[in-house]
Formats: sequence, structure tokens, C-alpha cells
Amino acid sequence: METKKIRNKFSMNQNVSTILFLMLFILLFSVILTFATPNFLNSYNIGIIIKQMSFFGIAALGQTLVLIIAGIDLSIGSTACLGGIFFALCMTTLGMNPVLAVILCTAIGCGIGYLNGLLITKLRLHPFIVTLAVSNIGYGFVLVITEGYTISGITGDVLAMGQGMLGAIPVPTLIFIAAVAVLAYILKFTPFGRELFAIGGNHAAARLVGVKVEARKRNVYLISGGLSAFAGIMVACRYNSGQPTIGETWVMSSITAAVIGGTSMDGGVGTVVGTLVGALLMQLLSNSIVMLNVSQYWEAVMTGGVVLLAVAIDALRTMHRNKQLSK
Amino acid sequence: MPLPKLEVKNASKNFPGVKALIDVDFHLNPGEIVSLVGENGAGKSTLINVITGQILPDEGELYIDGKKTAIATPTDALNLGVGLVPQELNLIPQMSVAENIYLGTCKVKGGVPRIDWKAMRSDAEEIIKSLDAKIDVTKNVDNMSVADQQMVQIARALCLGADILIFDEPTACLTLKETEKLLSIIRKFKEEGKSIIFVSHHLDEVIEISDRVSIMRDGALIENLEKGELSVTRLISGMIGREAEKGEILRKEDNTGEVLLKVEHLSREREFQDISFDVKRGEIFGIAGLVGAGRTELVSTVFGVQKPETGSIWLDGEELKLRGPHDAIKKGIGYVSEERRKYGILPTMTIKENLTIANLKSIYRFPMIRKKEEEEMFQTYSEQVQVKMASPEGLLTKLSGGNQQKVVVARWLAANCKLLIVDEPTRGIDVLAKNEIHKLMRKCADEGLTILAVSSELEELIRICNRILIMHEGRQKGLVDASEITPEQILHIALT
Repeated sequence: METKKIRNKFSMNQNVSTILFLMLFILLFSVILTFATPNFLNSYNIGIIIKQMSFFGIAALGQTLVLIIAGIDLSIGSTACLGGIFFALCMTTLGMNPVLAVILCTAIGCGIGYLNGLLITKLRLHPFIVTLAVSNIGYGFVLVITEGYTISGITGDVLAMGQGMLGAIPVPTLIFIAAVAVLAYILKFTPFGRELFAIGGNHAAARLVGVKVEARKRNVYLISGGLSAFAGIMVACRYNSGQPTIGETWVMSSITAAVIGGTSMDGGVGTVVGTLVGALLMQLLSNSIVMLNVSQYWEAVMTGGVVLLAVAIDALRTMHRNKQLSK
Repeated sequence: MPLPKLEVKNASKNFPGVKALIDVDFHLNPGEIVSLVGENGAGKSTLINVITGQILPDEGELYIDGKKTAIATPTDALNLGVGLVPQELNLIPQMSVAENIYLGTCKVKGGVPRIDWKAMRSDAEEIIKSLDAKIDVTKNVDNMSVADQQMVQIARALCLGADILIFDEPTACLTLKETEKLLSIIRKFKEEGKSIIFVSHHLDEVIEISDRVSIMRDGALIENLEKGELSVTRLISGMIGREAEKGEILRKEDNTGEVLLKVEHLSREREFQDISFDVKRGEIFGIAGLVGAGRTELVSTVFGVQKPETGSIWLDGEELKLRGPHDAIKKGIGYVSEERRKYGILPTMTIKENLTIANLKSIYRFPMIRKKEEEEMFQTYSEQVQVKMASPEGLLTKLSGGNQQKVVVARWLAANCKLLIVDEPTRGIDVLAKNEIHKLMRKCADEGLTILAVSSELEELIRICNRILIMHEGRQKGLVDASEITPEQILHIALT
């Protein structure tokens, strides 16, 4: 009887409790900001926050899947940039049909991701070094193509992907939420999703229960590349142009958002909803710096601090919970 | 009465949902060999972890040479002369023997502190020599045999001059000969005046070597038996709290079934040569041999982990060309590995997810895994193997070894396999759980499952198998009827 009681009291899933805890933190922080500055709580500012988090947030979803299989993808920023630049080229110089251009440029991202996957699985190279090298090559191509200049002049309805509004909600946010919903579903309710957690937890055992480990890994890097390129296209739509700086800071911020949201760097643990909340928290921080008239230079210090705080609190809660359970 | 070398008083420790130690009093006299026995989960490992500073007890005191001490870290333990030879060897493969021995306790010299490589090497050689082992201390440990690695581990325990040595299941992975050698080394330590704690599931070894045996059950130290009182039945009844049932024969004599698995002239260079046998439907077929006989390599080839170089494998009259384990599973083969932690457990997943993972396709209909059907699958098979657990949503890693093994077996029952390969199915599992696993295997075979069992425990094979293939150093030495054979005869066939 006694053990049963304890179980019920602590039966809440660790993932869920991490996310709820983060939301509470975000709520508290928002209340403080509301009192600190009149510019924070209005539909315009909130709109900016939830729009801005969506671009790197979508790439962070891919990163989350990669982290779940105990890999890492350092090429998402460069892939996003290539996606954005190619999209700008297709839309301006080549005058392509926008739908076709989006599909083509996303496919390029998938191709880059698949290349990562091939190198990692066929040659058994470490994902860190493969994706780092591919990232450099990607940025190299961007510079070769653009010579460092912006490719501007994208026009048409397709721009809604980056700047449209559906009622009060920005279209990029809707896309982000839709992507989170689809991926959350895949992770939780399909064999594919289960298999990713199995691979991340113990790839040798996963292979012996029939998981095609190598093929799944390639799939995941492909998804990560595709999502990144798509996010890059969205940025191009937001600014009507392909800029060689797209995705510059995304590698670190995608990992940060995932880890804040409870994804383990060791693999086998993580949720995309957590990553969404992590991305929101990071965007909120960055926004608060502007709102409170703090120097932009402090942003990195604060983001780093929040990451440490988030993982430290999570670790402490896990320890505390284990102690409670043992009593 | 001499002062005890080591004394633990009133130690208690609680883990989530488990009382791992309940008010344990334990003592060890100078020059004494005390064995700790008990079923899995009885608290032996926890007690050892407390003594070696790997966990702190919630309550209780520790005395060494009559002085109250606190051991908070493994390094504290080494400094106080307590050395541990752990159950799972924890050497660093990429480092040399000498580096492994002095891991964490490097010798440092000079004004600007630096590692004294020369002293470390010669001291390591000294220790290795004192163990009568022939090991080059400059070599890396990754390609060494398990027995040699264990010597390195013993040397590490000795490196700071330990006079209390703890051996946790030291013989689990050793051959008979290696075991004998280890036991004689342990006796030598005793002669040198060292005090020894010995943990083993092999009760005959325990009886052979111990001056005294402490029996643990459900976290408590139940009783201490002196040398004169030791017998296997006495120990077992102490461990399980009642008279043990005799190891009844679970074998079936019926060998008339049709052939399910046929292996013909299978070879892989340096692993096994020209192996041929067939397994009948509903049969439990054993593969016996010493460590290094090529048994695991053989069965993992049947499971598609690696490809045969020559020869063929037939299942149900169809030749198998497997591209990997996923192909084998599709054909109806399951495999329980000898190394559960490395090849069996999915550590970040729940008990339920671990059980259903090999057969998700039967409970998945687009677009989702059917929760209700998964629950039914879990209920059916976890009941069949009788897993003891608090909740199916708990992590598998939180269960005891025996229960983990049951879940891993249930995984394959849930996958509806025709042929189940079990490699050392009862390694590191206590007597009672062992019995349960044997009965489970028998029950499954009676219901039509065919089992290919690899084991180093000959009694186990004779108890449950119809026929036994005997291998030695990659070669097939014989194929015998289990009803007409004794362990001694099997060894004789293997070694001649």
C-alpha cells in the first residue's frame, strides 16, 4: 500500500514536469516584465516574440531528434543559410514557381542532412566532426554564390511564410506549432519514434531488437537538414531576401533550446514540446534585454546563465525526487 | 577475541521504493575469508557499496581496526586499505595495464608535481608478479582475456597496499581452470594476513573457500554460518528462508518432432569451424563449452548479427540469408544476449516499452501504436514471466537483475518468435530466479517454442535440454543426448 501511495504522488512523467516547470518560470518572468516595463505586454511585442522564436525553433526540432539518437548536428545553421540563399536565387534570378522553389530548397536541405547521415553511418565517423565539416563547406558555398552580398527582391504571396499573420497569430508561429505537433506525434505514437529513443539509449541493444539503426540515423539527419533549410526559407521570406548571415547563431541556440526543454545530450531522452518551450524562454530573454534597455552585449551572458540554471534546477529536482521516493 | 578488521554496525539504506539494507551488522576478522550470499536484491551489492564508499548509508557506522571511520568515496576506501574487485570490470581499454592499476592514485614526484611513470611501471610489475600473472604492464587492456583483465583489477585493488579485499562475483566469467587459480590466489592473500569478503552465486566455491558465511535476505543479514556448518542445501535454505526444492529434471525425452533449424558446415575464420546440427520443433537444444569456445559467435551468426563465411542456415526448410537481426526477427528468431546491460536493456525506456519494442508492428496500425493493444501485450507477457515491478511506466534499469532478464525474455515471447536463442540465460542470477527461468523455458518449449540455449553451467544444460552440442575452441566436439550424460563427461568430451 505504502509504495502505491508514493507512486501516485510522483507518477508525473519527468518530461511533463520539466515542461510545466519551465512554463511556470516563463509566466513568472513575464509577470515581472509586465510590471517592469509598459512596452512588454502588448499584442505587437508578444507577436514579435512568438514569431522570432519560430525560425530557429524549427531548426531546433531537427536538432532535438538528432540529440535523441545521441548524435549532434552542427550543420543546421549552414544548411538553413543555403536553403534561404537558394530560395532567394530561385525566386529572383531563376523566376521559379514559389511552391516548386520551397520544395526544391527543402529537398536540398534533406540532401545535405542525408549526406551527413551517410558519412556518419557508412564510414562510422563521429557526427560532431562530420557535421562541422559539412557546415563549413555549406557556408563556403554560400560565400561563393553570394560573394557576401544579400540576394534581395523576393516578392509574392510566398512571403507570408515569413511575415504573414493569420488573425492575431504570425504564420511562422503556426508553422512552428504544426511542426511541433507532427513531430511530437511521431515520437510518441509511431514505431519510428520509439526506435529513436531505443537507438539513443543503447544502439547495440536497439540493433538486436530489430531496429535498423543505421537507416534510422540517416532518416533523422535527413529530417534535421530538411527542417533547417525550410526554416532558412522562412527567414528569407521574412526579410524578402536571402542573406549570408541566416542561421549564424542557430547551432548553439538550437542545442540550448533542446537542452533547456529536457533533452539529454547523452541521447535517449527528449521531447519536441520541451524544445518549443525552451525556444520561447530564450526568445523571451532576448526580448527582455531590449525592453529593459540593457546593452545587447549582455544577451549571451544571460542566455548562458539561463542554460546553466535550467539544467542545474532539473538535476536538483531529480535528486530531490529520488530522495523523496526512497523515504 | 581479536578486534575485528572491519565492522559495520546498524547500517540501513533506502532506495526509491526499496529498503536495500535494514539494520545490518557485519564483521570481518583479520586473516578471515567471509562469503556473502543471498538472492539477487538481497542487499549484498549495497553492503559492499557502503563499505567501499560508493554509496553513503542513511544510518550506521563503520569501524576499521576498531576505529570509527567514514568512507565517503572509493578513494577514501583505497586509502583506508579497502580494495574492491568489482563484478563488472571497470578498466579503461585505451590505457595500459600500469595506468589502469594506478587509475586515480597516480604516483606523483618532484617540486612541480608530475606523474612518476617509471615508479608506476615497476610497482605495477611488482604487483602483477606477486599475483603469479604473466602480463605486460605497458600493453593496453583492450585485447586481454577476461581472466587477465581481472588480474589487473585485483592489482588495482592492491595498489595502495589494501589489507581488506572484496571480490564481487569474481568467477562469473571465468573458466574452471581460471576459477581454481583465482581461488588459490585468494587463499594466498589470507595467508599473508589479509581479510577477504567473497561474493558468489557458486555455492560450491563459497563452501570451498570460506571461513564463515554471512547470509543476506531482503536487505537484512539473516545469519552467520561457521565453516563446519556449511552445505549447499543449508546455504540455499538460509537464502530463501525455507528448504530448497531439489533441482528437478525439466527435460523432455521426446525427440520426434520435425526439424526447425538446420545448421550445415557453418564456419567463420578464427571463430568456429564446420559446425553442423539440427534443432527440432519444441526442443530445448543446448550448446556447451568453455569460455572462448565460439558459442556466442555461432549463435549470433544464426541471429544475423554477422554473416557466415561458409555453410548454410535453414529455418523451416528455407535457407536464411540474413542481412541483420531485423531479418532474423522477421523470420521468427529471438535472441537474449549474455550481456544484458550492453545488448539487452534500453536504459532510457520504460519496462513496458522495453517489452513491446521487438513487436511494435503488430500493435501499430496507421497512424499510431494502439495503446490498448500495447497494454494487453504487456499484461499477457509480463504475467507469463511474472515480473515483479511497481509500475510498467518505471524504467527497466530500476528492476533487479532477475526481473530485468524476465522482461528481456518476455520481449521475445511478445514477438511470437519460433526459435529463441538464449545465451547464458541465468548468469548473475540467484538460485531462486534461476529456477524460475528454467521452468519458464520449459513451459515455453511445451507450448511449442524452440529454444537454443548456450550455457557454461553444465548442470543447467543437463537439467533442461534434450540434446547438447559440445564445442571447444571453435570446433564441434560432440552432440550428446542429455539424458545419458554427466557434467564430467561433457568436460571430458570437450577437452579430449
